[in-house]
Amino acid sequence: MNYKTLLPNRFKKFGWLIFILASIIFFAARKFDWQPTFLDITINDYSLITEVNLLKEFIFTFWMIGLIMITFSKEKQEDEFISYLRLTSWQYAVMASLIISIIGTWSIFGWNYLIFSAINMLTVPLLFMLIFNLLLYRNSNKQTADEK
Amino acid sequence: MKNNLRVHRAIKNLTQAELAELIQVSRQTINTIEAGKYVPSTVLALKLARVFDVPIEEIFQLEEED
Repeated sequence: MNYKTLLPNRFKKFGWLIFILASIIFFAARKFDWQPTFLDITINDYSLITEVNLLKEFIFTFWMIGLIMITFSKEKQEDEFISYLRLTSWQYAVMASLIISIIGTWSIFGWNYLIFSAINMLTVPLLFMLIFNLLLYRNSNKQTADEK
Repeated sequence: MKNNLRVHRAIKNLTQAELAELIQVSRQTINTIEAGKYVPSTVLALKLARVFDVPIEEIFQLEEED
């Protein structure tokens, strides 16, 4: 992966801030059953006029933006080995996400499957973050003392 | 592929950190190359050869299974 196309490292902090804020709003909205009225819109859905609240759309969008900023930011020191770990992590994340999709398809049904499918879109970047940081940690832990 | 990077580093009396700085990579990269866990790119291998002032084949050698 060409690390010159990645975002500067400082975007990682903004990404985490956005992701955490969106998560707080998500859980608070669920707990207090809160839907801000200024996000209510009327849509024409196959000739059916329905009222929807766009809060979850905003939350999901900010989750995605946060994850993009986190996963596509450079590390403090980027080199070819970090690029190699990054590529390996994406491969494992995609593979694991596909397996989760198969398991979900055969174990979750009805409207719950729709919710699962929506949340499943986040599993690739989330798994990537987990695997990439695990690989970084394992490799930094394996460093032996310098020899002179 | 095997390498004797550690030997050449010892000859030049360089730490992993110092060598990493010379060729603009992380110390982690040098460590994983020495451990045989990562095969460097051609550019990185050439940079290492230049630092140690030896041909690449003196640092990196192909093994039977390669």
